[in-house]
Amino acid sequence: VLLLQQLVNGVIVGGAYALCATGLSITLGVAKVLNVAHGITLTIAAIAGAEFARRYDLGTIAFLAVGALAGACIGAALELLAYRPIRSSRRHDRHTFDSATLVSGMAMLLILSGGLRLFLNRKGAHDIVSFPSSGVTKHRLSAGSISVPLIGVVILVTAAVLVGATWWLVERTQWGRACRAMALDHEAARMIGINVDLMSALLLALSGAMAGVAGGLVGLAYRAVDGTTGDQYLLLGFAVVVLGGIGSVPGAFIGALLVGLVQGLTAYWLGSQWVQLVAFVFLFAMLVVRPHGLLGTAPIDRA
Amino acid sequence: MTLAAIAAILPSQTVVEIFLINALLAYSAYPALSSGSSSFTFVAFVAFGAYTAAIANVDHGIGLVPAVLIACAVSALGGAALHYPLKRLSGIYLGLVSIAVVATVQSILVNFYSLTGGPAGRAGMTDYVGAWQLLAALVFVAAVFMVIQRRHTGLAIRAVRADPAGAATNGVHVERLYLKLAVASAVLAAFAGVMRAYYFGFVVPDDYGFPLLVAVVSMVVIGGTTHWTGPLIGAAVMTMVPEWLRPLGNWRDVIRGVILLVVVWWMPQGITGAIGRVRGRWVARRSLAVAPAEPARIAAPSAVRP
Repeated sequence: VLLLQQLVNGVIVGGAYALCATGLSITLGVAKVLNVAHGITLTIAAIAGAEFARRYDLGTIAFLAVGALAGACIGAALELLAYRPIRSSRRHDRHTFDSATLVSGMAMLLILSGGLRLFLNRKGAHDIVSFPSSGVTKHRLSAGSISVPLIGVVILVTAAVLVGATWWLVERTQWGRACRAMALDHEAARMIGINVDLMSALLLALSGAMAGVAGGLVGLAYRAVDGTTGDQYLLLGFAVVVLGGIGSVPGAFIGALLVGLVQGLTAYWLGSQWVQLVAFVFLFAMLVVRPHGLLGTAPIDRA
Repeated sequence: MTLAAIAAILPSQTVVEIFLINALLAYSAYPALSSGSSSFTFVAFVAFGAYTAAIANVDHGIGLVPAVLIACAVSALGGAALHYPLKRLSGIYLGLVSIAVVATVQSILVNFYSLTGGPAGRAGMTDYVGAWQLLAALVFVAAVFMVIQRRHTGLAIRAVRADPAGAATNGVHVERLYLKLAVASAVLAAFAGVMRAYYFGFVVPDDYGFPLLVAVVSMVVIGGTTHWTGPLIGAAVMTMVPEWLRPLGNWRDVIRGVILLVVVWWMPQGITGAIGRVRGRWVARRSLAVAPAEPARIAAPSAVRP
């Protein structure tokens, strides 16, 4: 029974990972940047949502919307300040683009986490922002001997809906067709008239918005967020991205649920502090067995 | 007044020592970054070296030199072993996976209480290194890089960085070069880790994770990855500037980030790269004034670095 409960918990956490990792995966696959500031985006968006909710006495939906908006703004800022200057600079070429975007992402990570610490210190002595409790967070659904907090169901449903919507966007719309073209080759996409810069900004904003929703939901579930909450989501997001295949939206969803299940099982058998280690062992195993992930496609070799 | 201003800018001895350690760390990241790869596994070996030194010293009373030898030998093997699963990755995927490697090592450090002391780390080392040992170590490492840059290997590294396929066509054994660089990076990282542990006298896992990675990579990038003085200059800048900004308290991280961002925008090859470009332009212009007959041949060096 405890095992079953842990599995259920794992699936719920997996939902949060899915929200976080989908954005990571599509920015990596399509915009070709590894957004190391994704975790801090999640944290800041969650805290912004909580602050607004407290100040203006917002409901849960409005709170999540503020989080999503904050995340989208941070995502767009990341594109404008960190990634676009490098993509459009004539001092960078394809060979230096990857390492340069990684480093500028790290620079944004320093700026954002430093700014967050400034904000938290100004607010008060403690670094933890607590979340107001509401009906969503108190309710529990029970079936037989296992019980599920209502917020868990909300997380899972939100994740399924948003990831599904992203999948629809990428696979079924004209916008998504442009995304898939960019995933293959930025230069070629530009030649056929795709506005690579605008697309990247939209992608980063979308990914940030989903991180914001994830942060808000996680904050509601655990009732608190501190400056390092996003770090674990970023690192396990990496594992999810590699498991599911870079740029694959359904892959990210399945990968996230898998990581969630692994987390549940690890917590049951070994203890929750081992989660990260076990997830990374899976990542490396995956890398050796199937380097392009469960649902990813092998990259086209461009010599 | 002037004296006070100079005294405020001059670094204290502690700051100099921190600079020496940072420069050693920066040199361990340099081999990978200078070949254009974004592998950050050096942090894992820094952690390994530091913990080896601490555990050997605290539990077994082993001193500095044996610790360096053990850590470097094991890391050489480890660097080669880690190179094989990672070698088919490149660019941003390599960055992602190497960050995962670093996180994995940190998570091992946190979890194996009996050996690593868990989140609290290990303390109580009985030996220390001072500024002179650190300086000697840094001079040695920097000299090695200076020699390498001027020899055939340095040329091969620059060729691989510019274009791996092109380098291979011109007779560079690219695979073997990457392997050599991975091993060199691991050995230097373990060495820097041992020195760092011996300087501080303790190790905690929080010091050997993603923040260290960001700090060291930003030093190397700011200094520049195309000249052997890059890590020195980067470490100096990123040690001194936060020190000058100490009165600003928590603004330091923000300002470090802004500096890094500005450098990546305008000086993709870091400070040394920018200096090289300016000097190249200046040399070209002067040569043109002397010998205007051959502008094409003389102007060409301004495009590549000296």
